[in-house]
Amino acid sequence: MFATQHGGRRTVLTVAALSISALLLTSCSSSGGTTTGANPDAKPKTADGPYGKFPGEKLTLSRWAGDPWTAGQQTAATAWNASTGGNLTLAPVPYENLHDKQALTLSSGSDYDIVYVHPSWFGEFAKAGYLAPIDKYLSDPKRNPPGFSAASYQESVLKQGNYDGTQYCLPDFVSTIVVGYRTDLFQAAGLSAPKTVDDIIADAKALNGKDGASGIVMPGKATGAVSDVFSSLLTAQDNWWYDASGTKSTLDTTAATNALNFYTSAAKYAPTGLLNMAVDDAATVAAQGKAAIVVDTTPSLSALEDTSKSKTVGKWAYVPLAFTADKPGGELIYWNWCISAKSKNKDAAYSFLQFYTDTAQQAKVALAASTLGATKSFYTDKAVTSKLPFLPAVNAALSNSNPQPSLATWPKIQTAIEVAVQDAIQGKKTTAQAVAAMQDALKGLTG
Amino acid sequence: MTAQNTQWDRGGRRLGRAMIALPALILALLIFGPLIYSIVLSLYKWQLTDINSGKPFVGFANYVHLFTDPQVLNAVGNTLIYVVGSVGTELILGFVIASALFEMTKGRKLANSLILLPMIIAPVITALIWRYMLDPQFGLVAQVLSVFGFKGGISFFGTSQLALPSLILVDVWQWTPFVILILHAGMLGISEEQFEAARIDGAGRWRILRSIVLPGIAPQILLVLLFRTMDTYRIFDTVFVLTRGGPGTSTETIGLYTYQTGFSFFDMGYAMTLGVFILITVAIISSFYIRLLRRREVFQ
Repeated sequence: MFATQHGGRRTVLTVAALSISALLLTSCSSSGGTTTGANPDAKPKTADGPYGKFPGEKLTLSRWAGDPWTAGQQTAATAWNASTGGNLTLAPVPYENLHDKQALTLSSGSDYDIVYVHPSWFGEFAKAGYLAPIDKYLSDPKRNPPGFSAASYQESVLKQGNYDGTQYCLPDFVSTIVVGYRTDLFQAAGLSAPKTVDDIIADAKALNGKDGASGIVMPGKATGAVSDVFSSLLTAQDNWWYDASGTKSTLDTTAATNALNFYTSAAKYAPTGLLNMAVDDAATVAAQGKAAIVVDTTPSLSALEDTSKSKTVGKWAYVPLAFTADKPGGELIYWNWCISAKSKNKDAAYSFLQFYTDTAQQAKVALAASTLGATKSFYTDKAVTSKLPFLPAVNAALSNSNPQPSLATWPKIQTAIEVAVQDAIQGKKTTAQAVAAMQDALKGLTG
Repeated sequence: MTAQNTQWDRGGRRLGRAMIALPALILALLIFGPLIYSIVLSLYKWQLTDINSGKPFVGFANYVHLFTDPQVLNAVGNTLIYVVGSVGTELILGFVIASALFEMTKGRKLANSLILLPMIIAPVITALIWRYMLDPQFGLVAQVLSVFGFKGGISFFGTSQLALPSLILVDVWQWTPFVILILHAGMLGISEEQFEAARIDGAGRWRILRSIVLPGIAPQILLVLLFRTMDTYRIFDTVFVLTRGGPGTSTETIGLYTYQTGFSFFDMGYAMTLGVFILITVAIISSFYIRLLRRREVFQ
């Protein structure tokens, strides 16, 4: 009996000693953000490959569930795993549950390494300390391809992941509003490329009804896109809905009137049913040769260049929205990818983010899902520009852009703005009344 | 022996009550639990996008807002037009078709089966079918109209004047079969002797319809009114798919406005208040019909 008890105590002590040793080893190896055997500075085998070796490191990426984007990212994760020896898995969650799931996980120890952060809760997460700064990674030449740094991204897009002067996220999935016009119809009518919104209206009027096509098509249904177009029109006039605090309206009556006049004038040369057209409907009308000009978001515009969806492939040229020539404006729609502050694999997480948001991977995603990258070189990549010829117009629009409103109070305001635009188009409200309704809606900024 | 039987009876009754108590409790919880929870939540300000600020108790503030919110008035107005337009048309059309079916001697079963087809399609699919049928650019109706020289199509869902009637048309297409089914069943329940006696007395078609058919199917008519009024009052899916309440707010129904308040504006407290409002109004309308039905001793 005594011998058994003695033996048992020895076993317990041995197990305890081994456990403590294991814990110490684990804590030592993870304190620097990289496990033993990893080499975050290792150069990739191929020019576009990911930096670093992370054998056995397990990473989790939190994102919303939705294809083809989840599948596209999974392909990138598989390539990253094969090259670095790491094991990155995606944890997709339905969008409506994503914020709460992320907030709960990140605030309680975190088993996430990389998180997709929606613009509307980026500030909340950055302020709460859930996200890790990435400035030192971005400026470290050992962790990036030669010449790659923060300057490699579109400045206006990258700064959306910056909070109080610290960079937390890397962007992708860029989208904005641009104008497409039919080069064949313009040429036949002796018209030159539209440079301003006045040109667009004049051209739409001239081409309306020619070859069975309406002059212009754009989204008119209240699904958010009307507000996106309107936002771009305001930005092109150096105006915006609200100030930096997001609580005070800065909507200028003249700018709003100009923007609304563009919408109501264009509607005169639009096809029947404009007010029930979402972004995809407008793109379909244009793709089927039923409009000479289209104003739409870029993922939808890709349908114009898709031979399986369009009768007008290769007949389109693109320009940004502008009120005065050479002063374009656009609304920036984007996604942010960030590293969890409590991640034990920050080096590996950055390796994936750099790899995923850089031009080579984004070109693959763009060709599969028609979304655009955020690096400057993406917009000059020949493989991409030949498939998505609107990229130079997007690049120009983003040179003067405001991010898509992401305030908690915005959805209600947006609905009121879109209803006001629709009422003005239908003649139920005068331009002045519709602008007044928008300004009235913006009083709701304070909640 | 009798005393023993009485004891057994008492024991059996007790056991019966005990066995029914748990299921009854679960059922009550399932029915009244969410209902009470909704009512409680309607007394709070609960902004889903502002989870850090909690849920302050605001008493009846949401209800005060409801009665001063112009969008509620607009949405209820649209809903009532939709209810009256849909249910009225379905009842008249359903009665006419059910009467025709009743008089049919051949092919009645086949006609019955074909008529029921729209009803078995999910409302969202129905909405999509009509969306593509009535599309002014590519829809079937636009193609047919263009053959007759009407180029450019008609914007059924893109103008305030036509959007709500078009939504009513979709509802009529889908739910008239339900009315036909119920009214036809009611007509079949009227005894043949009544018709024969009327004919012998020299009653014409109109007189038979007025004095025998309509009184004979009155409970079925009330039942149809009850179900269709409740359904159309809560309409959401078709409107959401086809117009999203537009153009402007011309097709915004109270069901859609409640959804938008909850899941677009994330104002869950007010959405719950709107939900309670829908519940109360539906209950009032339903109780009116149920009282009429009871008066006819249908449920007795």
